[in-house]
Amino acid sequence: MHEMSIATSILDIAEQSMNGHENLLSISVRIGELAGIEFEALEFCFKALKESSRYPDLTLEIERVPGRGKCKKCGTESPMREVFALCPECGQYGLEPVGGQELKVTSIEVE
Amino acid sequence: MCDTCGCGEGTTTIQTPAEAREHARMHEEGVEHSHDHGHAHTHDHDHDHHHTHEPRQTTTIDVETDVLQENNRLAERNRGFFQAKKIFALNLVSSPGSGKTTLLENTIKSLENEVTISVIEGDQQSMQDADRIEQTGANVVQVNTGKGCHLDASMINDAIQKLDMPDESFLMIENVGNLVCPSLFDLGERHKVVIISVTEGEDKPLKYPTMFSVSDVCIINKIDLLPHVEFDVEKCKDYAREVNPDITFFELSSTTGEGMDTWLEWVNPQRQE
Repeated sequence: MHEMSIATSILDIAEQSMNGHENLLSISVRIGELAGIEFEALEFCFKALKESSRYPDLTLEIERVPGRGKCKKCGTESPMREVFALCPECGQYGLEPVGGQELKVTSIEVE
Repeated sequence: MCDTCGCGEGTTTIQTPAEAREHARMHEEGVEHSHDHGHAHTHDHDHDHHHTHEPRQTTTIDVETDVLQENNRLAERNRGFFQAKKIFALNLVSSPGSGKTTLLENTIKSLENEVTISVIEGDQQSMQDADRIEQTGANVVQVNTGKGCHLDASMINDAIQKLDMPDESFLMIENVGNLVCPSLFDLGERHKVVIISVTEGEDKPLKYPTMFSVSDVCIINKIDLLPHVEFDVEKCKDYAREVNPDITFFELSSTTGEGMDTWLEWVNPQRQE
């Protein structure tokens, strides 16, 4: 599943940012609900990666960003839980994501 | 990974059919060999600044890097390359069994006198598809992703280097059969083309909305089987348009040739601006 590829990229980005420190303690990521990532799958894959990494204490801190959509038909902004959703205001399909698509490594903790 | 000796295990391999045959010959003759990894990663360095926390002497480093940044960067490089050389590049996606490879074979046979065609094949394992395409006379490279479920921009970047594509030529990328993961990974293509066959459910677009929303074109394949299956073409198109109102459809059978003319007319790079 692609969460393994994402988890690998997260670890790669974190390692590139360690700036000479020896031990990676945690990686903080910001992931939107509409980013196309299955959170549990990501945690599972990350755990598997960590076992074979050099960082025994490594944790992954996930900040989830709720999805928000703007309706192309009536203009209302509302929470959006999935990529293909009905506008709660006018009941039509046509919600365009305006928030919750982030997929970022925000910071790392090292020692 | 090499099936015979297990070398390159867990890594992606990118090879032409000729290279695969050479490798097989080396095994038969017991020639020692090693494998390179097929593609290398490069990473951008990001900015960072430090601030410390008491009392554990740990340091927090701000990273603020998009996870798909590296893929997107390489995808844009690929895109720039294609634009500079006026190469029309398509990313073909679908579930396994939609008829992508047959469609590719027949598209190549119909257009090969008009334009040079190259193909990048993506599968977990085996050279089957690349061997089939090689028979058509097109230049082809097979990417075997091993455990991977999608092609990414770095694989395309490496594969391009094995294909000697002239200016104003045509590249078709047959992605790994998977309607989920490839939608996240830009390869640098001009269009994503999603292919579904009438032996699948007409509600596919609702079940896999991401893929349909990022594709410009939808091919409904195997229409010769319509008398034998309960597939409502118009309903399928309506579902797809709900997810992507601007999607263009082609209904065809790559085996009987029905509907192929319209597809060939659209896809012929001579026609593209």
